[in-house]
Amino acid sequence: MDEDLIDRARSGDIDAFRIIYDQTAGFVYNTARRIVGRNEDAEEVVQDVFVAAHRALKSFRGESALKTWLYRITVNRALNKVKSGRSKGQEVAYEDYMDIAQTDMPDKALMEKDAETRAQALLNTLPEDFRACLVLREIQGLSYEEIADTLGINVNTVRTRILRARRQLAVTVQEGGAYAL
Amino acid sequence: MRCEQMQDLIATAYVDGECSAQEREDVLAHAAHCQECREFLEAVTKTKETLTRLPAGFPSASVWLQIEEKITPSPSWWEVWLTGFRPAVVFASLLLLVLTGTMAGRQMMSKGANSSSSAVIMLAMSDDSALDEAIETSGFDSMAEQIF
Repeated sequence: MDEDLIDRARSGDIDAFRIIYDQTAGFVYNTARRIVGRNEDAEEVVQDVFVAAHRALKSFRGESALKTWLYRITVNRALNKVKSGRSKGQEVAYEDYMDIAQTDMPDKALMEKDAETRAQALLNTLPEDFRACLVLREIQGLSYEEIADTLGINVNTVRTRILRARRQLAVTVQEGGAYAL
Repeated sequence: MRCEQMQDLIATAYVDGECSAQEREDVLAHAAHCQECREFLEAVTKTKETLTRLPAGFPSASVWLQIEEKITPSPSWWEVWLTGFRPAVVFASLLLLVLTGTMAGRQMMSKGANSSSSAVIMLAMSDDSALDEAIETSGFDSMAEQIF
């Protein structure tokens, strides 16, 4: 993604904005998906994020600013959705888990779906703020500094949240909870 | 190093791959004889591997369509008006043009008829000598132009 593309999108070129969407919707979706825990909710977050991004295009200077902004707004919207109780991620993860036993999926696909559902169920046991930090770290591969910058919090707070999140998940797994991987 | 500190190290620098060689050795040596920390190490490592291997997805096609609908600027009232009533506008413009042309034509005809009637009356009232005089002074062509 280059500055020219952002300029074109800024001047109202919908095709240019579509290219930006194609290049960035993946990480926006995956971040939202793991925080809200449900596909439908994640897609709603994606929609909100890109409509807001289109309005805010004037304030971006370069790809880095846009990407950081997208991560930040994605996490904020996803957390709002979870906190307002509009996302039923936890319940849906369990329903998905129960549904897997009744599907006719091929073995490999079934195993992948099962692993994904278990991992999501485990993530859903974390408090939202811890979950957001861990998703950015483990799934998006951001550094502690990048996470701090994205969330607008101190880097030590990020370290503490990730440490607590990993400790909590380890204890849950050891106790055989949340489908224990 | 106590178990609490060891587990903090495991859950941060060790799983992030940011340990020094010495710290790594310490963790493994401790885990070798401490069951609690060994199980913790296994659980943390397994959890991290599972999360990093989660499949990446992409939103369905309908998401972009909904975004596109929301970001496409709505046309201004006059654009809607022009688009919606284009045939009517064209027809009305043509009709106006024809009417204007017709009225202008009639007005000109009526003006021309008035001036030629006056000239005929004037000619009828005048005698031949006056007519001859007029033709002589201004020429037949210019007299005809005045009349017609």
